[in-house]
Amino acid sequence: MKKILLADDDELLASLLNYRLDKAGYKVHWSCDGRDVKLELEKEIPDIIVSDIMMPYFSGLELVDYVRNTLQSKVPIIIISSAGNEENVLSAFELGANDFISKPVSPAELLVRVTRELNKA
Amino acid sequence: MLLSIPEIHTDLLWDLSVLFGSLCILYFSFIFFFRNRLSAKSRNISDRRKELTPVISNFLFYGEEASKEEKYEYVGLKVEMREFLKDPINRSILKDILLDLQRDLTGDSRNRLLSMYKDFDLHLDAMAKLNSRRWEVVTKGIVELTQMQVVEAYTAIRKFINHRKNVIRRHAQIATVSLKHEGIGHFLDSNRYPISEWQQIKILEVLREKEDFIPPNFGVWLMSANKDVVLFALRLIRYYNQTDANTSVTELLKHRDEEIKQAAIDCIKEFGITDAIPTLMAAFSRAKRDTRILILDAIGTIGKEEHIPFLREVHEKVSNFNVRSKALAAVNTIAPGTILPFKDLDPLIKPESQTLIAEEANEASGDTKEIPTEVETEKIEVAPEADRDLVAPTDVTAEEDIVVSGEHSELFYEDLEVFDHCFMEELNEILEGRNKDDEEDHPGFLPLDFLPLVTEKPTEMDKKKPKKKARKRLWQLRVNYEEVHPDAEFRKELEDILSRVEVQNPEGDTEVEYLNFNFLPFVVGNEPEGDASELPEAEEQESPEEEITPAPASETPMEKVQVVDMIEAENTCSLVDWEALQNEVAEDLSDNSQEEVRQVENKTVDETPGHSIFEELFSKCDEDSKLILLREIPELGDHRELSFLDALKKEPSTRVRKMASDVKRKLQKRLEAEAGKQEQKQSLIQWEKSPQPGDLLEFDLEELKKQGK
Repeated sequence: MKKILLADDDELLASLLNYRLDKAGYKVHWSCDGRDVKLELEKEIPDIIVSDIMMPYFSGLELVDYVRNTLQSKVPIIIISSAGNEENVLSAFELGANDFISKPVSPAELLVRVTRELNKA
Repeated sequence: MLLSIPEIHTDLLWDLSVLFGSLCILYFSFIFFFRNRLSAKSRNISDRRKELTPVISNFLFYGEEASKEEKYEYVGLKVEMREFLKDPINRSILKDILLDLQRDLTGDSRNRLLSMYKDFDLHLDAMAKLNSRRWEVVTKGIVELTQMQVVEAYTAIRKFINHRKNVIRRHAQIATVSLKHEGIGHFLDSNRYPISEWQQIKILEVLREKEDFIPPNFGVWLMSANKDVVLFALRLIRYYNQTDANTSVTELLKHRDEEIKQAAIDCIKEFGITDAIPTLMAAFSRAKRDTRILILDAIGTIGKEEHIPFLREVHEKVSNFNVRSKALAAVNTIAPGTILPFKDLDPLIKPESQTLIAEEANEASGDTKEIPTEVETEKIEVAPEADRDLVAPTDVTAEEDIVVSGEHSELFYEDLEVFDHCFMEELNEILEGRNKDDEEDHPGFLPLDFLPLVTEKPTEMDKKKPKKKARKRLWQLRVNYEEVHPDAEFRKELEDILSRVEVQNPEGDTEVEYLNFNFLPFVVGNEPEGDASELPEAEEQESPEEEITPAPASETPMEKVQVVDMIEAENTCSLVDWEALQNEVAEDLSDNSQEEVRQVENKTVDETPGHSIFEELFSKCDEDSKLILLREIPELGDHRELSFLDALKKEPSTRVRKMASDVKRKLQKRLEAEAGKQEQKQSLIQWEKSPQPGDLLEFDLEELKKQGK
């Protein structure tokens, strides 16, 4: 079972996506802020990371940078961003993010992207 | 006297302490209670949300392909939910969750979310809010129904389109447009209130996001009585490119409202409705400045060459700078390069001049190196000759074929240097030629024909003639004047000074020689040099000033007065038409009696010697100072002081009178002695002017005789 690290401070959306991904057969670990994500990453590197850009303590961009440069990991990272936040998305890609999906999110679309990235990896 | 402590009952103190302590406890208990209650409520809500979230997720992601067990589970959940939602708090929590989620979700999940909202009859709560008497509750209800896309609420909401409360009205308008496709039509039909720019943009955004939206023909609403509806309809026509409303849009050019007119012009320009150009031109005269500019811009964009005369007419007749500029810009938009820059251009910059300079430089230097005749130029686009003639504005004096050259400035200064060099060479040649050749052939003046004749064009002020009365008054003016050069005498003096040169002969003695300066023109102030007939014909023609200058010194005193008057008038008033004034004076003269003539003659004779400089000094000083001044007169004074000294005979002080007569005698003596010398010099000058062989011989003989003596 592939392990997904879901990092989003929006509890409602996170639980919905968690439910959808869990239903699709993935083991999802949900972290509500950046610190928790960092701790989780120190413990274990997941198969894929799905992270919101705007998070408390540790933003999505910092997370990408941390994974790529500090942890030197090539784990696939999918960024969730609000519409009209193209600048951050471009920065995320520059730092090493693999894909992005904008809000409002279609859980079905996210599932497809996650599957694709995992297949690539 | 000792101060006694006021007696306070100890029981009272205790009572007060107990009272305030109780109040504090009550206050903190109150805070604690409500805080706990709110915390419990939020905790409760949070717990219920946590309970509901997986249920919602289950509902949202329930699929047709689900197994039998899942289907049973789904049905069971639904029943549970219905029981759960009987509690209004639970309903409220579920509603909040769904409202939050619908913002973050899209696609199929969102559609399921919206259906779930209706399945649990949550929309009924929202619709109930519409009946509230509180405007904020009504607004919340409208917003909720709009967000959850409850189409059933359309009829209930559209009633609020013309609500007196602005907030309700705005949300109702958006809801109406959002909930149904025909909502926009209903809104435009029934709206009686102004639609703000922001509201228009928001409605347009709603329409843009609507799936499968087929826009109605917005041209229908161009006839609306509501100005804002017309403007919004025009905006929608432009957005959806509804070109079938061209006729209606063109008709709006006749609208009285400038805003509508401008929106229509924008639409016409964007759609390129060429049929509207005649209407645009017709509307121009009654339009305001901004609208005029827009009309010209539209004509410039969609017009053709046949519309250029109209634009040219606008440029000529309209006084507003912006409109005029726009007209020119429009002409250039239709036919680029038709009107060229014409202001503040250097007329000396011409492409031909560059070629000329290059050729001249070749010739002068004799250098075989090829000088490029075509320098790199930044050419302003020039229209064909015919076109320019057609549309050139009347006040434009544009230089044709203007070429701005990067190297031009250097060439220009080079040109000046060449000119200076040539000029000096030619001048030297002429002067040398005059020294060597006989002077009899050219007794007149230095041939300066090669110099350009620079004249100033008469201005409007110069052309103005004074009124007849004013001219008569001019004649009657009493003028104080001073003769700067009393005719030929002055010339003699000047020539004497200039021509007298002391030369040492071989024996070591100093000899005085007189040079001939006849070839030089004699120009002094405003008066002519001697007889005008002496001037060469060409010069007479080329100097219009001389035609109007007063008569020569040989004239009668009466004429002299006229002359002085006219000079004075010329100096004081440049507006005088001299010919007219002279005629006027002549007429006046013939009218004047002989008596007047005699009076003027006498007066002129008295005044001719001029004004003594001592006279003014005399009038401002005491007796001793007068005596000192008088002592200086014999040495410094001239014939002008004679009349002044005569006038001093009437001086009250006897010392001054005596001194004056004494000084006059001395001065007369000096002047007589100087006159003798002058005569001698005059004969020499006369000889220089027209030497006769006999005279020369006679002169030499006399000189020899004198030397022999």
